[in-house]
Amino acid sequence: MTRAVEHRLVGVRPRPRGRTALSVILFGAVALAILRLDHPTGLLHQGGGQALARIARSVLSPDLSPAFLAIVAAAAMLTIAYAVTGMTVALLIAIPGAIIVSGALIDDRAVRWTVSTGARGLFGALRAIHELVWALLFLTILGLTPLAGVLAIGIPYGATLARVLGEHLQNVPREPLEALVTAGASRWQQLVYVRVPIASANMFAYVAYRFECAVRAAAVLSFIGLGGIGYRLTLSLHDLRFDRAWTLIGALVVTIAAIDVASGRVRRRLTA
Amino acid sequence: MTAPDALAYDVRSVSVQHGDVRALDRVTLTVGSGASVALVGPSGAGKTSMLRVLAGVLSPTRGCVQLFGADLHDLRRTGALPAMVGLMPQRLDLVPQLTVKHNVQAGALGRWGLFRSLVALLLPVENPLARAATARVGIENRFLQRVSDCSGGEQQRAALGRLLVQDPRVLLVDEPVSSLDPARADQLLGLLRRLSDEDGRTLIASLHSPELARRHFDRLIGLRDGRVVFDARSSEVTDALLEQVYELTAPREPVQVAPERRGGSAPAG
Repeated sequence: MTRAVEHRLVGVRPRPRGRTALSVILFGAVALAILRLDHPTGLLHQGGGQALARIARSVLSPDLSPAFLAIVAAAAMLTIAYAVTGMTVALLIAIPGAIIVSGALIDDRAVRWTVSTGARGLFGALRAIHELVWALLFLTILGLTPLAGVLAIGIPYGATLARVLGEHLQNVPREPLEALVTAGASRWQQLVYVRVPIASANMFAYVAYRFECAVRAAAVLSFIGLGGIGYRLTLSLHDLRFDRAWTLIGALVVTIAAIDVASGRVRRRLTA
Repeated sequence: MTAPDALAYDVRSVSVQHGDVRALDRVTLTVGSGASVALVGPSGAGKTSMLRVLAGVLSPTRGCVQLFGADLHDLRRTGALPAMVGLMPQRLDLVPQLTVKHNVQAGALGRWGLFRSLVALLLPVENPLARAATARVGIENRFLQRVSDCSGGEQQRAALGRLLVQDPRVLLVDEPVSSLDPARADQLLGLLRRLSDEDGRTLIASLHSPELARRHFDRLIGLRDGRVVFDARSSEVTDALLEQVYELTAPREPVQVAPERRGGSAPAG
């Protein structure tokens, strides 16, 4: 057996000569590019160094006064509320969407492929647009209303969830499905007795992960004026109140960590 | 329900082709109603393909299969098949995340509407049918446990319970004991045979072990390379016949009948 064939069989390519030299050249090019790029103004803008020092110092003394903590709590609640309502809209789209993407209810193979591929494409296009862009779009249509924020999260998240959950429903072992087919179960019955129970742990994990993303997205969306942690963060940064900014960032971290812990508990119960 | 001498299966010259591989080669056989038949033969002999054809899961490339006088293909099309044939495949086909109860009652889905299926899945309603079947296979103490928490033998029994709830006239069982130790394998086959006889069902199973097949089944069909090598009452199956099926070289002319070498294999009564 020749060397080439051997390498192809084990999936390892022979190490090309001069690879180290190439790495050095590329590394040098990147370093040079960075240095040249920042030449006129330097890495930080004027006074940036001072600001950095202040920001770093205020980490140790976040604003924990009761009055401000009350504001932070209200802002966090508002951000979570946006995330929850946004995820509700997303799930209203994703549950039927996932079933359509999975093709689990369609008997005819050609029809199943067409519907599944079409739905996949549609959801793919919807999720290609970032939630911030959706937010600006709805802001123009609906004005600065909570609904704009909710839809901005709900639509792209619904599309993403529909695609991913649809794949979870699709990729289920063949044997249990076949067993129910021979027992005379309909496609709906196969969905609820086999596909959903087997995929539920993974589906839940993904929904929980998306919920975390939704909280972050809601915080970011509130920069555009919808209220919540992000909005408070802009105000604090404008006032150069870094101690307050740190409190808000801490609140965001705590919120996300709490969701992570809670979803982990539920996931362990679901995992067989 | 059927006269004892009625035919369950009438298989005529069935071939199954998977690409270049011929899994079954012009198999012709009949199985009487209420019979107990074991398909024996080495791995790759076509036992699983045979059972899948009989179950209507796999369509033969050539030939036809009649079940109680009706064409299998028509029975499948009209949805009459689940009441007539139940298949227990070799690989675990339960839903591990659900309880034994939910898995066992899934055998009734062919008779239930969607609403009833959902209620039975989501609400803790008692299901006497599923409980009785679970008791018959001997794991009633596991009724409300998740299948993933059950042992291999218990899962095997749960799959059998689901088949009992489905209540077909023919039970097709693929390698039911391949993952069990000898004592448990013997016990499970005994149970399978007893349950099948009690209800007057026809039982067709595939087995690696010819000893177990002879002990628990009335008739043995030896398969090799997709062909029927022998088809005999289990008391008439000699070691020489088995050797034709299991030997590693190509089949030759029947060898001399060797003296009984396996002391423990008493022929079935």
